Amino acid sequence: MTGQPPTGDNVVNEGDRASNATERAPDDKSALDRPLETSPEESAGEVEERVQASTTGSISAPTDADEVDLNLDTEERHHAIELLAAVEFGERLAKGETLLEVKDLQKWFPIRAGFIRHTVAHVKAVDGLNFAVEKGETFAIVGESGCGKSTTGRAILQLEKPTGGEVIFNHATLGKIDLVQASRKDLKTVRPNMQIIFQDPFSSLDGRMTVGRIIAEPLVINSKLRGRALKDRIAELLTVVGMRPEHASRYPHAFSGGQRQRLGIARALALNPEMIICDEAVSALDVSVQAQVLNLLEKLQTELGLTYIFISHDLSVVEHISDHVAVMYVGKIAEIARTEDLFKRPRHPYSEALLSAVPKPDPKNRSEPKILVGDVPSPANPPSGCYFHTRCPYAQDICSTDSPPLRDVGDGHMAACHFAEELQLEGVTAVAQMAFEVPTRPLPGSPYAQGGRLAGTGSRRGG
Amino acid sequence: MAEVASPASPAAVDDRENPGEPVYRVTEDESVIDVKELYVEFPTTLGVVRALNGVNYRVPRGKVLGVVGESGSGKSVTARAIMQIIEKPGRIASGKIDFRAGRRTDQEERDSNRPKKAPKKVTAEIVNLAELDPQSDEMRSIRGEEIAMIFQEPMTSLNPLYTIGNQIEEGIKLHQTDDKAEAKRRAVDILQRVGMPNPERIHGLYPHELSGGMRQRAMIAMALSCRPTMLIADEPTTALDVTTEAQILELMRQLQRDTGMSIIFITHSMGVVAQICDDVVVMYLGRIVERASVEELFYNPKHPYTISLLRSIPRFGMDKGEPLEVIRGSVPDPYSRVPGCSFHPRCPAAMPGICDVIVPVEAPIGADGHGVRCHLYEGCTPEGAQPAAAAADPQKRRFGRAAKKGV
Repeated sequence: MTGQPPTGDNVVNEGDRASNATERAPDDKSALDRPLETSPEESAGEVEERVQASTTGSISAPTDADEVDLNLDTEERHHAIELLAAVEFGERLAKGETLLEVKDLQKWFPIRAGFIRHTVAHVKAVDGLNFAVEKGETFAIVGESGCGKSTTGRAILQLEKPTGGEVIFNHATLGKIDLVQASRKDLKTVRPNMQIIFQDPFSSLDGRMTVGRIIAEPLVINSKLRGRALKDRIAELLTVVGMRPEHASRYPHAFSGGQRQRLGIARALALNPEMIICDEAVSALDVSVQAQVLNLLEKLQTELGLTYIFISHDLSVVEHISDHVAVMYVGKIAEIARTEDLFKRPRHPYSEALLSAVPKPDPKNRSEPKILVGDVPSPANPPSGCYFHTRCPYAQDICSTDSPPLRDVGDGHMAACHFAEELQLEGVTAVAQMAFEVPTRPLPGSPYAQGGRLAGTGSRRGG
Repeated sequence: MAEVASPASPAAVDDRENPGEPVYRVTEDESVIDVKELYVEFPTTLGVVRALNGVNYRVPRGKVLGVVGESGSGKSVTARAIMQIIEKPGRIASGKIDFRAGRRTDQEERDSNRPKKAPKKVTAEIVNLAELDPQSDEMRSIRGEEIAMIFQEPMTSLNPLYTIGNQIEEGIKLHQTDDKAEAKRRAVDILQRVGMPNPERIHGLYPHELSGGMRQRAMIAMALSCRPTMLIADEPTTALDVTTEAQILELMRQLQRDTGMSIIFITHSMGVVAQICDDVVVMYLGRIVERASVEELFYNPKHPYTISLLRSIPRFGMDKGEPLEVIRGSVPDPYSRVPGCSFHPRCPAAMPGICDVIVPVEAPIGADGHGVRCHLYEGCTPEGAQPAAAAADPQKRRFGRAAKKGV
């Protein structure tokens, strides 16, 4: 192989692999628990490809059978959505009602030292958060790594027991209930209404369970669905996220990152929740796939009336998807506002710095970002006064002594800065919109544009 | 099949008049690295993975070349091929990587100071790195001294058992001086240049004592310690926060201005490309599908893949509720072999019978070295290639079968 230059087309023992796969196919078929029959219109070829894909390790061949359905307006999907929306685990709230209220939420992790492991200090990962989330909106939490945004998400779900404060969830039957103080029984009633999608689609799905079992797990625990009805629900859920019911019999390794993230979404949707926490849900995906998943999340929100708490460090994604944004810095909220307001005119110097640091996809707009000096302070040993004063370009004497409270600076815009009113901070300017379209057919001027589909193949070079 | 693919094979490109030849913005002499028809493959038990299928690019001297693409497009493999550090069992199957060390005014002076154990220096003006043995003295003298690399994960690429200063001095002692005090002086100096506060102290710290941004600065300091002609930055900011990313980008921009080195900047972020690069190549499945100056690429992209990529990123000031443009499907797995244009299964403009059969070649679009590889544009369909007579049904594209039809 070394001496002989490879041809441009990479055809290497394609036949070998195909025959290999078909030989092994019968075994594997019986080994997999196939909860769904193959639909009659499926050709033998598609089955073969699927089997091949599931036998050959981490392969997600880009076959049509595998391709995620981008058209989310198919009839089957509408039907599946209707079925899913009809599922009631308790009553639903009306849009606009307050779904979640977080009051003085606190999560301190102890630092232990010495022989008897006594607590010497605390890492104040989350330190006194206050915010409210409305039903049907997307509430984003942004900040640098280590600012406590993921801990906030986990503390809301009671995955980490908060060390203080209240998380009041407005449950349709139980009414407003404080999850921090709630009994186990009440928590179990509320939990189906709050789900989470994790960042890493590779580690958040159990590699030893089929997709069908992964999605069935919450249903088996929280509902009485069994047998045929359970399989039907799994099929619906897969359709809802743009995958195919046949995928239920495969294992997660057979899917690409974007497809796995869809499976994570399907699992989160299984109980038709009120609220989903998306913890960096699109950060690990390739750009082209990220757009697919974002579109799916938005579509599901309008269809099912979902509420998202969207935790992310990517500000352009946040601007696209969210209604309200909270900017966190060292366990505290620096600013909360409606997304447009915050991006247009931030009131906290930290928000300004974050916004200006985002690399804009426009080579003619190479503005010098407002570079923050130094690093994020440690939440175990935060600075005095305003935590941001060590890096703030506008800091005054008062900033190092007095901690500014989060206060309304007009029109529901909250900021924790002594000078929120005085400072004229810069927001983002819109990045030039693309003046070009993705071609969907040969463009005018293309050698293939005029005449029939293949016309001009022989003579186009002359013209 | 073979005749269809031949225009992209190395043999056909020797002819300068060949219409399928790559389009460059710089002449050979103005480039530091000239990658010619590079093929890299990984033989595995599941078949041979062709990571690179004939990559051509030139890195202009003193400029920043951006290499963009999704995971699996081969952008890192190209960089590793240049450094000759491709993981086993990967290997360069064919192709050339011409490196021009170029003029370095203080060369003689520094040579006189070289340690006795330093690897033998390559004296030839142009070196074909693809031919060198990865373990040879020649390659070792180039790696680290002439071409340096920084990696994505600063924590995994720094040795936790040695201090930052130790690790920086290692390269200096190997390539430049035997004098320990002098090596330390240089290490502290370079730490200062990458913007480390209190470089003397940092010199004695271990990697775990630094934050992510600081570690990446230490990596950059290490890479720059021997004043390389070229720096390969493989996703250097991907693991960092936006604020740190901005710091590192600004630092690299400034260092590039000061030292005049050339940079290959590998990234998947279109925002980063727009901010730092001069020229850009877009890669997809081991091939370059488009190359242009950064402004041309962002304002006048031609390849459907580039256009889709640019339109799929959320940008500030977009209409709320307007769905993002998407590319259907995902990057195929490395074992599957896509006949014809490798992007055709995901391309909205794919033409059955052409795109799924014929491998497009590169052709210039407009002026100023804008090259594209797509059948939509004139000159990209190789001369003599015949589209499949019975055009495949667009609804039923099957790679295996389409390939067989072509035979």
